Amino acid sequence: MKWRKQFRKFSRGRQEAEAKPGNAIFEQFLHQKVKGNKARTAGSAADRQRTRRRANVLKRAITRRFRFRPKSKIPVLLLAFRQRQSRLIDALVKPSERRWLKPLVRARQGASLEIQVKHFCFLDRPDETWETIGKMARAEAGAWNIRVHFDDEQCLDIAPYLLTAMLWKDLAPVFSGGRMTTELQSVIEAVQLRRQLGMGRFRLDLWDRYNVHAFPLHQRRAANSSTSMTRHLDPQTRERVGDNLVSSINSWLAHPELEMELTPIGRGNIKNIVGEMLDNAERHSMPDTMDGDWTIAGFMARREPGEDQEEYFYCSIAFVSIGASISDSLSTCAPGVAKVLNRYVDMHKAACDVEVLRTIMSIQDGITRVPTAYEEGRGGTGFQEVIDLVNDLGSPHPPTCEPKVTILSGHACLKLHGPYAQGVRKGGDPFAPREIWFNGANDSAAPPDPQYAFRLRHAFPGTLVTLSFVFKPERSAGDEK
Amino acid sequence: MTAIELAELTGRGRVHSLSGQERGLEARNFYRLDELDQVEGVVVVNVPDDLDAISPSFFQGMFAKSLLGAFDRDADRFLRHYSFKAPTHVLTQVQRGIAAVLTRRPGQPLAH
Repeated sequence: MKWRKQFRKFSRGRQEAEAKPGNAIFEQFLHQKVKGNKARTAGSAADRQRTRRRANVLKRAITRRFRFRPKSKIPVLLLAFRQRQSRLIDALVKPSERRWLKPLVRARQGASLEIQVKHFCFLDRPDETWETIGKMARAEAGAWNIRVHFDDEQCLDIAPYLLTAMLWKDLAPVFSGGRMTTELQSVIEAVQLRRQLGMGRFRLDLWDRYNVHAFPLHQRRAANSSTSMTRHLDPQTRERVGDNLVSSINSWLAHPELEMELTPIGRGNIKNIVGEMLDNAERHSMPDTMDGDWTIAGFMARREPGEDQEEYFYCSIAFVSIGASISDSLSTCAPGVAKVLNRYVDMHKAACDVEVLRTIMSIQDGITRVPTAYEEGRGGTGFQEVIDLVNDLGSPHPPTCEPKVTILSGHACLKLHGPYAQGVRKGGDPFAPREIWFNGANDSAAPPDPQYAFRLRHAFPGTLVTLSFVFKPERSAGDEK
Repeated sequence: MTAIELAELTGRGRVHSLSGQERGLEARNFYRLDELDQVEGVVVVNVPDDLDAISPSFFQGMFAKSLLGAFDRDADRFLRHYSFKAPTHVLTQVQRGIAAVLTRRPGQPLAH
């Protein structure tokens, strides 16, 4: 009775005044009742619980009282869901092109879809993978039910799953499962992405079977929220993350079947990779405040390629930072850097996208966006250090398991593997800057190879760095490098 | 003999690595390295045994001004003045940091 009286009061006069049909007025009424608490973080457990409770109340009211009975196929949570804004979604689907259908409208006009996902790996197919995630975001706008089938046999890159999990909380709850191979399930479960991806419970006995050890998703607190006066002197979150990652790897290697641990050099290399990447994300994703956020996840899987080949440990770590792209952040660089940058761009802009050229320049030694750092002769070496460390960790390696690094930032995509895996100091001079120009001569005068440095169809709203390397048990046990 | 205790930055074992250029700059101010660059004698930098990593960015933030200014890019003189008491793998990282500082920047004058 209470709902009927409230609706009558709400709709009195509006139908004629606003010239809208009765069901549109009813939806206005629904949205007014189901107001989200803006202070509560979207996607949090409290928010989900509140939304579910309200959705259940509304559904009971609707079925009892009104003639607009929703069809039973509509998920309960979808009834109370409101469209959410997200930088990731806006990057994939232009806001002006996104026709987001309201829940009750989807019952009549929406579709039930199935999406096949194959080669879901930024390392090898960055553009296709980013487009696949975009397909999910575009389908979410109008469908009432979507099943996503992950058809890869193995997980080669944690980054797409990490991004999908970050995107999921802002998408309508229209995803109802799909196929996934056993090894993928074990990786997703181990990295604790299953709940964020909206998937049902997996069978837990799969974990040992596929020897997967994971580093679960870690996030830094929201950008620009630091309050400590000694922010930089205090132990940093990124340092704790590096410690946790190394502890996780060591705890798995200490398994009775393996009885190994990382060497001190291995520990140092991994911590430096994490420290450099996350420090870059904090300082450069928010150029004004140098207080950006980041997300990291990873896994290590023990794989046995075949009877004739030795087993190895495959590692994948991904770093995501939403904010300014590398090319955009370079706009604050010192005049000396700008001169070198503009010269390179002018030389090759006819053959290659400007954003890609600026990103290539940014990863060379000595190129920093911070004017004071440039004048004082420091900084600008982080990316080359990470590339060197990844190659150190992953050498020697089986023939098809070279270390790989892929960078997505804005419209630019750089694949640092194959012939362009590592920077080189010209002339063997130990103090010459490390350079990598993505061409056969490794020369800035030649344009970059479009297979390894190219423009993405949709810009990434920030920077994503994903890396993979393998190491072999006997190297981990005995190497003193 | 003056000493720098890096354990103060790790929170006495709360973390086991030091990273970040801004952190290195704050550490430089905290330990007053501008003054320590000028003191006579050796400055001992005590690295905790449980510290696994000093990132090149942190090292550059903390010591680049010393190495490029007071010690005029002379790594040997720098290491004679700042004596690092650290495990072998950390000393390797210190060398890596020194190489990062001494790496030539494009179009940049060498001396301060």
